[in-house]
Amino acid sequence: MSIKIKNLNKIYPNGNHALKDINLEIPSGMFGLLGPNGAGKSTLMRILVALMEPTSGEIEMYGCNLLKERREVRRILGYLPQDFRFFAKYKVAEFLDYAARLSGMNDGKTRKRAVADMLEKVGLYEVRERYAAKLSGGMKRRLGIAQALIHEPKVIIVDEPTTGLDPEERIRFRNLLTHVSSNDTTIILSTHIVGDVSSSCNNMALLNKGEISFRGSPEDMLKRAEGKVWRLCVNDEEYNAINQKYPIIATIPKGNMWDIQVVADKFDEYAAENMPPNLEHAYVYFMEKDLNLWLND
Amino acid sequence: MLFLKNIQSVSKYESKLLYRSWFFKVFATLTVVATIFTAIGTLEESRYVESIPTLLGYSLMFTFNIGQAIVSIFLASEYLKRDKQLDTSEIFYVRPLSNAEYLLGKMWGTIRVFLLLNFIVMAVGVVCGYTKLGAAVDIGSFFSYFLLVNLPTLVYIIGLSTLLMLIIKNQALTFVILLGYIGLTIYYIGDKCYYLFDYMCYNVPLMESTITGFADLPSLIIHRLLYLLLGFSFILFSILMFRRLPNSHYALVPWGIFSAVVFLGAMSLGYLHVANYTVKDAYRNNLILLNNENVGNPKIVTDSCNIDVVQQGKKLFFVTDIVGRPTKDASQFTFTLNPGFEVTEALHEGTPLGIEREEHLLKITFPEEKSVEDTLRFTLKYEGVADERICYLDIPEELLVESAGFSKYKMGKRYVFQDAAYTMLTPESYWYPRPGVCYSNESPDWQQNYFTHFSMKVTPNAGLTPVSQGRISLSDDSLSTMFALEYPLQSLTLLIGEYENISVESDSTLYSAWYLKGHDYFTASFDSIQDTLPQLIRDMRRDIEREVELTYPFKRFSFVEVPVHFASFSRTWTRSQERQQPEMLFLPERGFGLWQFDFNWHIKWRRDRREENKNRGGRILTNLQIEAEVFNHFKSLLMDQNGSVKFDEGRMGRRSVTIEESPYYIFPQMYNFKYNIYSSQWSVANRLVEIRLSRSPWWNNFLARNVNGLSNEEKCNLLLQERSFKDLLKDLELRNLMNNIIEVQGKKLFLGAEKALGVEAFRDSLFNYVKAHAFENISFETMLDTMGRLAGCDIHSELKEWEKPIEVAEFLFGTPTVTKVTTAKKDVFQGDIVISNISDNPGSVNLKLVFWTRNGDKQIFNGERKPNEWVITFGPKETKRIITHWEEAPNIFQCKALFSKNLPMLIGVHTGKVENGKVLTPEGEYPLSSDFLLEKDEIIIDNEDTQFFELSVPPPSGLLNEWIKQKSIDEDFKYSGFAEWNPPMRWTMTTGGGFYGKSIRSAAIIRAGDGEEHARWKIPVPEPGRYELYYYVCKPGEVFWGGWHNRGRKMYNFIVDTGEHVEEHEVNMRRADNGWTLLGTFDVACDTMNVTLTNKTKLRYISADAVKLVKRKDETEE
Repeated sequence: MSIKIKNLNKIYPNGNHALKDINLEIPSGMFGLLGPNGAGKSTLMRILVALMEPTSGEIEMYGCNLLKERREVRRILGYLPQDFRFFAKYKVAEFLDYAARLSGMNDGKTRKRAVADMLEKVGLYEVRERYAAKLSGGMKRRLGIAQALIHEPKVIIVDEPTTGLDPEERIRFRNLLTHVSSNDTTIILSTHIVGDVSSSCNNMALLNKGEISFRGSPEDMLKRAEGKVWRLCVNDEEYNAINQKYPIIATIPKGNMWDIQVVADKFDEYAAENMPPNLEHAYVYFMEKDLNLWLND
Repeated sequence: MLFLKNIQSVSKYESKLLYRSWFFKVFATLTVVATIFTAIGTLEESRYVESIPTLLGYSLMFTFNIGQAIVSIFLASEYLKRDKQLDTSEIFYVRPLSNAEYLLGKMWGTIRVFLLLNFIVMAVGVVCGYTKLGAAVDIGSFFSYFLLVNLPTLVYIIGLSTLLMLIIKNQALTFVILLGYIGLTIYYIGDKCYYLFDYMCYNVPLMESTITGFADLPSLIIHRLLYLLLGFSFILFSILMFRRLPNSHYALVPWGIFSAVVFLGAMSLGYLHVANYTVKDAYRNNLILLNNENVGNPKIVTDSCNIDVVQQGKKLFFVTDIVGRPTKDASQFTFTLNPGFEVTEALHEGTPLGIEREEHLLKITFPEEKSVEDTLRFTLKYEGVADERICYLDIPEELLVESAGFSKYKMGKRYVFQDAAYTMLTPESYWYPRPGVCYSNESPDWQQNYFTHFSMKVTPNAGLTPVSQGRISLSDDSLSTMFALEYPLQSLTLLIGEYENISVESDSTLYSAWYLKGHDYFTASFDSIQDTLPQLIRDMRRDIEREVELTYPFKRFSFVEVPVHFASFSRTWTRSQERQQPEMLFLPERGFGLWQFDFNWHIKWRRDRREENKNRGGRILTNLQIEAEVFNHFKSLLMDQNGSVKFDEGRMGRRSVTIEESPYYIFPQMYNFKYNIYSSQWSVANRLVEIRLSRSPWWNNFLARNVNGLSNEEKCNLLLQERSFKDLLKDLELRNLMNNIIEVQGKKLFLGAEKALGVEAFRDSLFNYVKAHAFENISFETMLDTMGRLAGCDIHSELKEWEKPIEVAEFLFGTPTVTKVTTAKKDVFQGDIVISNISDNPGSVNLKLVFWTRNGDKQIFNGERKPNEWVITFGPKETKRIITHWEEAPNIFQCKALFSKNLPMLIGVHTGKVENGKVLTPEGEYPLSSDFLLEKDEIIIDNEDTQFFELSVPPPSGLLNEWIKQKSIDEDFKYSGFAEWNPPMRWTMTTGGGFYGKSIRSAAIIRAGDGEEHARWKIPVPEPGRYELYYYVCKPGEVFWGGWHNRGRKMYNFIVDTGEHVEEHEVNMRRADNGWTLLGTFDVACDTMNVTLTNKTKLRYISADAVKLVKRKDETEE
């Protein structure tokens, strides 16, 4: 395993217990960290990139103890934060050059070549003399990932990378990450967009209220949700009654009726059709499921 | 290496950001423009930069330093704000660089931006300087000022602002705090604690001499190193405070230790800086203590002193042969010799003498007791480097270290120079043994201005020339220079440097200019008058001797160029300052700061005017005439008694002016170096006679009275009423007033003799007595006895009065009248004034009648010259009517109440219209009843009546202001001056002839407002009835000013409370006449009438003076 997290806890000074006894082993490849807003994803990410100190626990990253050997860990780390903006007065190539320098690429020629290659790879070579602040949203994301990749890190942590991107840019971005992950690199993709994980990650974990509610592959997660997704047509009255008891994950109007999808362990009260789950269904299922019960299962 | 590379990487991109910011672009543009303008201004400003080329670097780097100190605060805190705002920073925070590398890189990035700006300023400055000065532009000075001033300031302020930003975490607040800090250091803290807090060198003396460099370079380096280290320590502390997890838990420990060490280093330098001065001060106090203990020791009055000086590198080796007479029978005699010189041997007829050395004191013990009849000869050998700390023990330390200012340049003060290239030893350095001790604050017996026959031989370092008093000759080997004097002197001076000279002989006196090599900028200016110089000098000397009424006694007179830092102080006991020595006057290098020495400018200006005159057909001056006119500027330098005039805007709008004596005034050459009146009891004996004989400029008192609210003479009167003369003489705080105190006391001392002989006749007698004793030591007490016998009064016994405060009289002056009476022979104008002494002490009034006619002060009556000024004495409670007759009508009666409570002391009353009369009253003084001038049937409440007059008290101003602002000496007096354009914000008492007052004509002044301040007169009403209420108007100057803003109603607003009614009344100050103005008529039923004057007015200020209540006549009759 490239990253081992043991008994990780983070309690903020205001008493908020953001991470509760997290134990996680992350293999190389794309790893998705899925969870709703406020689940503790960003806290975990910031701890993993050595921007924040945990209250307790241990993290080992490619054999280095993150808490004791930060410099070593930072050498193998690439990070793309969630809210990523630029210093307005840096040009694209300069920005990347700066990041490369700080990552220890001291040889000027090597660095220059690496910057050019990376710009080619992310499709920004043509705009290398443009001020970074003048790039489009997608270009900025690509420049962001370029700076994270410029020094060929072993671990890349990306926090909500596709938020705000149009579908084309999102797909392009995912493909880029998948391409990088093929080189024995660990990419941790923190997101609340289920599609990002389903389409690119081999492994994943589900974080809810500071605790891991699922860990495994997306397929495992789907398996767990099999037989739990129901589809039926209801009128207004039935709709309201169901909505009060079960999570409705899709609602399509059909004449005077509603074609809905419901996630539930059992759904005997209504005449419903069982349907195969997708990762979004599984995600909702796990979020709604009582955590302890599920783990005891 | 990686550490430095990382710093370099961060700094490169940080500076790139700054270069591209609009803020930088604007600042850089402004910097270039401001530098060009400052350079032009500096180069055009008089000829300062031509005198001292380093001033260009000083001016530009200093000006830029202030700008960068402010802007760097903003930029330094800006990047942290940026870091805080943007998550982008986190992509750098996760890199493997350390906190130190990141933060140091950031700061270095900011610093290098400013370094670039500094270099731009230097480059622009050098280019601008080259256009005006050519090769003389001093490039090195730009670098020295950069290293000493700008670099430490930059590092310090960036370190401080970064650290504060990290602590406060708010850019705006950090910016405001730091701007406040800058303002505080510039305007309030200033030079306190020996400039310790002056991080940007705003007040630190930085002027660099072209002869001797900085005044005190070691101290300056300590000061600047202190701020450099402090800046570094703040930067290092910032690493500790930086909110990013370090690379490891212990990564910050070395930085913590390092920052603490650097901080402690800075603190140690701060301590060293202050200790440098305090130790010096303590040492000086110790010297005074030693002097006090040894002031009564036997000493030898030196009749002759032969000095052989050999210079070897920096060191001087002396062999001094002394011949003298003991003042007491004794075997041990005390001398003062600079403590930096080590005495190696003392010989008397080949026998070694006992030597005891205690700091500066040198006690020589003869094998047997010597009597006052003996003539002692002995030889003293000593060597070393002079210690400056012995100089000016009587001057407070803060004055010694206070920078002297010329324009914006601050200059350090030096009193002794001794190194291999340049040496200057004046008598103040005690470079040769002088009898007795030096300054003692307990006994005046330390003074030792005895006349001695000096001769000297000087062997300087190769290439140097010695300069001193006496006829110069060279030794056979030309290695040594001999100085021989034809007359005794009180002291000797030695200068050694690369001196060159030009001389002109006129009437057997050799006039020389000694200047340092390469500093001859003046001979070319006087090409045309080379042949006429002796005549010009002869004429100038004749004019000066006539004006001073004394003759120049020496066979030589030299202007000697000395380093610009050389400073001298006025002393209480002599008019002479160290800047003048017998036969010589020291000028700052290339005449820096003296307008008279800007020869080229003056000649050019006159030539330009000549061209204009040619076109207009006016008078055309030849080159010779122009150069002669400019040459005659020397006279104005030598005859101007006043040096600098310092205006001080004090607290809350109060003002004061201090007039310093000019050190170049030639008088000491003709009096102090020629005559010596000594007293073992009174250190100021010579000074007192000197002041009595010299004529001080009348405008000094005039200026002081108008600005300070009290003339210096009035202040002295007030001081002498409270403290004895003896006590005042010891008060170093009163240094600036001491001349006036001595002058007032001198007047009092000779008042009886002057009344007996006449003012001018007595002065002539005193002159003659002193002139008869040139180059002799005259006993003060003997002189008083002689003068007393001459005048038929006892002057000597008056000295007893000097040990107690003086008792003063108090005078009232009536309104003078002039009546024209036509007699058989001619028209006679009879002047008539009543003067009353209402005190229990006797007193005198100096009465002068001013005539605005052709004859002026030269009045003729019955064919004879008639003095228009005389002294009238009064007994206690005595009132006199003084009648005088004139052929012309006097216009003003000028009454000066000597040694009185009167303020102002001098009142000038206009006589008004001349009435025709029929009978002449014989001239004379006629006694009247003592209450003749006291008001009757009137109730007058003046602002001096504390029982019936009150003023509002404004809320206290800022505590910081109160705490920091030093109290000025003028605040010790109840009355002070004010500026009409910037009146005081609190009620301030001032005096003036236009105000009402029995003996003290004063008023309370306050700035105009909305009526929040008031003055109130509580008038006791003797009985109910109908009264007229008057206010005493003294029209403010502004009602006479022109301009649109001075139009409109200028009212004083009164509220009159009669007990039954409250009424508002106005007085239009534009229309009212000076004097009593009717406010209105009131029916008053109660026993007190309140009149309130508020500060609500469109005038700039109001003055609260006096109100008068007069019962209506018809009421009185009823």
